[in-house]
Amino acid sequence: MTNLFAAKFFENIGKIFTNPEYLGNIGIGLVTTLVISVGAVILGCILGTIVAFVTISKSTSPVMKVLKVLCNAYVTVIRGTPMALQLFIMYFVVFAIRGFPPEITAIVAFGFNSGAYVAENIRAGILSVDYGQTEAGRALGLNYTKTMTKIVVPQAIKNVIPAMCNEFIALIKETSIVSMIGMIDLTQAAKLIGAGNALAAYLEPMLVVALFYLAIVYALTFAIKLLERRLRAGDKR
Amino acid sequence: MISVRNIYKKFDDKYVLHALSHEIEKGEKVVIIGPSGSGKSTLLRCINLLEEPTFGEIWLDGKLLTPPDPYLHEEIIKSSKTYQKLLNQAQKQGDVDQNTPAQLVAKIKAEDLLNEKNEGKQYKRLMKEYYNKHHLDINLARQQMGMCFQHFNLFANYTVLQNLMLVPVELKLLTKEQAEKRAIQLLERIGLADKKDVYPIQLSGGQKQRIAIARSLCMDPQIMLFDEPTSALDPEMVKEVLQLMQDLAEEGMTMVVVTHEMSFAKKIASKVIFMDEGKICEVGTPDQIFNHPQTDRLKEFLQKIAD
Repeated sequence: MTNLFAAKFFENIGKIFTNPEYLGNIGIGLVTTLVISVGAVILGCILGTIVAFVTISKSTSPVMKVLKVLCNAYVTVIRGTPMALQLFIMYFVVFAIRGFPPEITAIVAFGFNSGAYVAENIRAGILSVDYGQTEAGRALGLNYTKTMTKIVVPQAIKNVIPAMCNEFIALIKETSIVSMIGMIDLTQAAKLIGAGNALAAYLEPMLVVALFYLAIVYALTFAIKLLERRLRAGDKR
Repeated sequence: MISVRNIYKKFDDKYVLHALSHEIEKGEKVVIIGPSGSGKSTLLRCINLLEEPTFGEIWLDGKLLTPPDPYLHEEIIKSSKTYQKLLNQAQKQGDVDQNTPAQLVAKIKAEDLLNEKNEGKQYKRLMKEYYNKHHLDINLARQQMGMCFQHFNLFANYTVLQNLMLVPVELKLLTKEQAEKRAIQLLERIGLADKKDVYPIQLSGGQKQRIAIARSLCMDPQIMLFDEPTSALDPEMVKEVLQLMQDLAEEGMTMVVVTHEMSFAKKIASKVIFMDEGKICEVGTPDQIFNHPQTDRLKEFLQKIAD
């Protein structure tokens, strides 16, 4: 009985990797997942950095005050509502244009979502740098921007990396809900393969796709670890 | 050289500095003493605007660093709507004699003038004119004022040499080669040239503070401000830092030092300021302050630290 099961299992795995239709599905899914993830990470980082610097600025000019209120509202709303809902709003309301590429809708939706979390991470990272560092820079005559870019931000980046790694991992896995707007990502590909006539089994495609996710996340973690090690070279006592 | 005029500093609802005025001349070594919470550090930090005074003005070499304080300028305060209102009231009631301009000005609370918009166009124009005429950009002013902190605040992401070179190079005051040469000279002078490539985390407190002083000196400042430079140090390291400060003083550097080291104050000060409750309580030579205190508050303070 077990032997039979194992034989069937490996046969099905073999089918997934040999059947061109299945391979095609996984390929499309992988590309979709990667494109959305990378796009959203980039958009999220840009957005998050801007929002973080607006929220920590001490400027009292009216423009900045308005921007601050907007940024705070953005973070609150994004973090307070479900990702799936945000995706639906982007797809059915904001970009409800016939023929609009759904990849872009997804990138914008996930990027906006990620931006709120990234903003909070960066804000925390900058606040974690001793205020004395800023004071020393300012007291020597550096302006605010230079003090930030030369002294505070380089130190903040080191502190922020673990939290950012977390955020990116969560984002990559969260992209699996794009099937809700009819896109084929890795997860949806697994579902399609499982429901196909030739296979009619869900376990194997799901496991294969799980390994793909694992590989992506592992590669990302590894790259970030390397980066972190290099940045911390100056810290050894 | 530095002129502190009628400054107030308000934290929440409490005034930490209260109508404080003082002049510091070139070459003076001013030591500020006083009980904790008396506003010594706040005063020092107000001088280079790390804290912005709530009211009052700070002048450096005849240049204004803060916004002008209308209270100190008759023609500006008289153009304010608050003054006009008081004047009208006085005229209506007919007791102009008892409301001379000076008395009216005295009636205006500084808080009234905080909101410039309500004080009319003329007032705003005069404020702006005065500011434009006299002010000096704070970043330029700070380049002339070295500051040393209690907790050193060396830049943790740079080596010792980079700490010294960073700002002069960033501000294009020196080329990289000039800055490096100068930084190494300074490090040799404080006897830490062998530490030039280590990160601050690897240094002792005394070394950090001496490097922090060298970092300020690398900007070639006109004046040095010290905010309790030895308070965070182990006792055996206090001496090396005080020695460096004494050397600086003997070279004629203008210095303002907030410290609890009374023997140091006696040794180097040309003027000692005793502060209490946000005001300057007593000013004098070290001999006057330590041996012939006038006020009860100072006597009590000296008694306490003598025990």
